[in-house]
Amino acid sequence: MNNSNYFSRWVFGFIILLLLWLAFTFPFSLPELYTGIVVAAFTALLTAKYFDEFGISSFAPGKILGLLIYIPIILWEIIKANIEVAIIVLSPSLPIEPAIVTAKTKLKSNIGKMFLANSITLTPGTLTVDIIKDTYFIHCIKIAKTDEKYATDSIIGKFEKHLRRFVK
Amino acid sequence: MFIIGVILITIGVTFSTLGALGLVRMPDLYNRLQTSTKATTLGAFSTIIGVGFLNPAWLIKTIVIATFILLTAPISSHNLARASHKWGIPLSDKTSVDKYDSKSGKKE
Repeated sequence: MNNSNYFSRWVFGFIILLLLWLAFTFPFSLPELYTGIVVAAFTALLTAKYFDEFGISSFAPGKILGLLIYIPIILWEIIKANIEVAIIVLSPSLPIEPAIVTAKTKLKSNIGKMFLANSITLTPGTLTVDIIKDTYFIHCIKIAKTDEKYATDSIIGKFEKHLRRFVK
Repeated sequence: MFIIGVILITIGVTFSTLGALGLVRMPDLYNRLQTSTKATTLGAFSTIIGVGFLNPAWLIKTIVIATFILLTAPISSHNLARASHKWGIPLSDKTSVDKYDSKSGKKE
């Protein structure tokens, strides 16, 4: 993976922070825009080293489109899984079969692994305990089979194919 | 707008209640993390967006706040689970397999 240079990362951090600032101070006004530009530039200067690996290449239209498609998918998965866990919690016999299983990912970049781990943890019923290289250790509240292939298909599969559109 | 807001807040409160119920009913720490942090994530998310619908001037701000919750909640629950496993807090008897060997940091 080719890491972008410092300036490109700084521009990326600056744009993200400025957009966040404008969203927070929503009714738009010029003095707030000036303040935001100064503060965002300074903060991005301090944090650009850690904030992102790819710099402005992250703003390629294909990647933004992929992210926009991913948001409704993850929200829908969260709602579905929430209802499943709600049924488990409400049923008198408490039908849980917990296990910590392993699953393999094909994603290479750190940011991609982070997206996948957070998606798994956000979905109720599954929780990422640790990542070692390309192996995810996932605690499941209820899983039918505990072998690696089944876990990879049923937990990672539904997110990975959408994630690969915008992260490596 | 008002009706959407009220529906969203109702959903949020319902899932927060279910999260609290799960916290009481589950047998060990890991399953408690599953129910509490997750149901609370949708609970808090839905409630905050619902407030935004009740008062449309706040809608964009509430969406930003909800996004921050969605980004930070999984990190805290992942860290709690990992630290507990490394500390040696046992899993419940119902657990079928534990493939994570946190002491050596290797696959079994």
